Amino acid sequence: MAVVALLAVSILAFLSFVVKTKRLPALALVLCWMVAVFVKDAMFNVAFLNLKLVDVPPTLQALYLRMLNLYFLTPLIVVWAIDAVADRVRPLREASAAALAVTALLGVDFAMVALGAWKPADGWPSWLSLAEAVFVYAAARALTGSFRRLLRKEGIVR
Amino acid sequence: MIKPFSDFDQNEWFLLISLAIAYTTVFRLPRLFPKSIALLIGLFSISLAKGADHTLGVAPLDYYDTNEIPVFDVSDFATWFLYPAAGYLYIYFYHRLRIAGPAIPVYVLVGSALGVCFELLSVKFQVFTYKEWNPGYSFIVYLLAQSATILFFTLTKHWFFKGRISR
Repeated sequence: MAVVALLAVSILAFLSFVVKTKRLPALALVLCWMVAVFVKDAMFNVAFLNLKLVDVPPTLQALYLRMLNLYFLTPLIVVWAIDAVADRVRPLREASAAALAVTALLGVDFAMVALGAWKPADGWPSWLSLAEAVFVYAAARALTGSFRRLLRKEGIVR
Repeated sequence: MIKPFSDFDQNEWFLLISLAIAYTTVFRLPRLFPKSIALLIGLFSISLAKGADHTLGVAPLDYYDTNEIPVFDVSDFATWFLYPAAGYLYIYFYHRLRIAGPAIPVYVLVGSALGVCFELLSVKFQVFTYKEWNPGYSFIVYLLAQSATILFFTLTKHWFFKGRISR
């Protein structure tokens, strides 16, 4: 039941994002989405799994949940937050968007653990979840900013 | 932490030579499309490939390993750099040869066959170690991935020129 609720929320969130007016050009949105996927994937699969900081249950449901998180929920949250501060905004608004995104990312991670997508191994440092969320957001924010400058050079201004 | 090379042997040599050939080709070819599109194609290729590796190569599926050992080492990291170059070259020739209409499925078919051949060579040099995987599955994955790459390129090109016109 909880999985169905999570799927319903994900679909509705995606729909809401699609219909809202976006500030970033489509190319920057795509890049931001892929950077979020790439960084999250690298951190989870290369760092956490490799260092045995997380245990992955060998079930298909756990795999589907991880895929939902990796390809859909994490990038959606990151792209939404970065798009919200795409225009020149005050530092306070920028910080609020970042804080909101990081909180949402942490919430999704906790939901994943609660639903059995993975479980932290013994010795999981509690700050690591926060560090991961901050790093994913910061990397996507920085790279999207650089990409927008490149797009402006190539004549796409928005 | 991430392990250094477990043994610098045939798979590392194969990777180094493949990377040298791929990037020499990429940088020697005249530029055909904007840097932003090239960057997106590279990122799309690596995201797709790593996504597939970390879905198919991890429990519960765990169909294959990359390189000789099942843990991440520097040679695993080196394989990451092959994908953007391969994706770029694939789209480069697609664009350069002006593939269109019924030639697209033929291009995808030839590309997938070449992909399987390169993968078999990689398996021979222990870049990949199959567990419950076979080249037939790879062929299907290549068909899907290469079709997605062409679709992605078409979309990015459309958005790029739409963005320029709407200035």
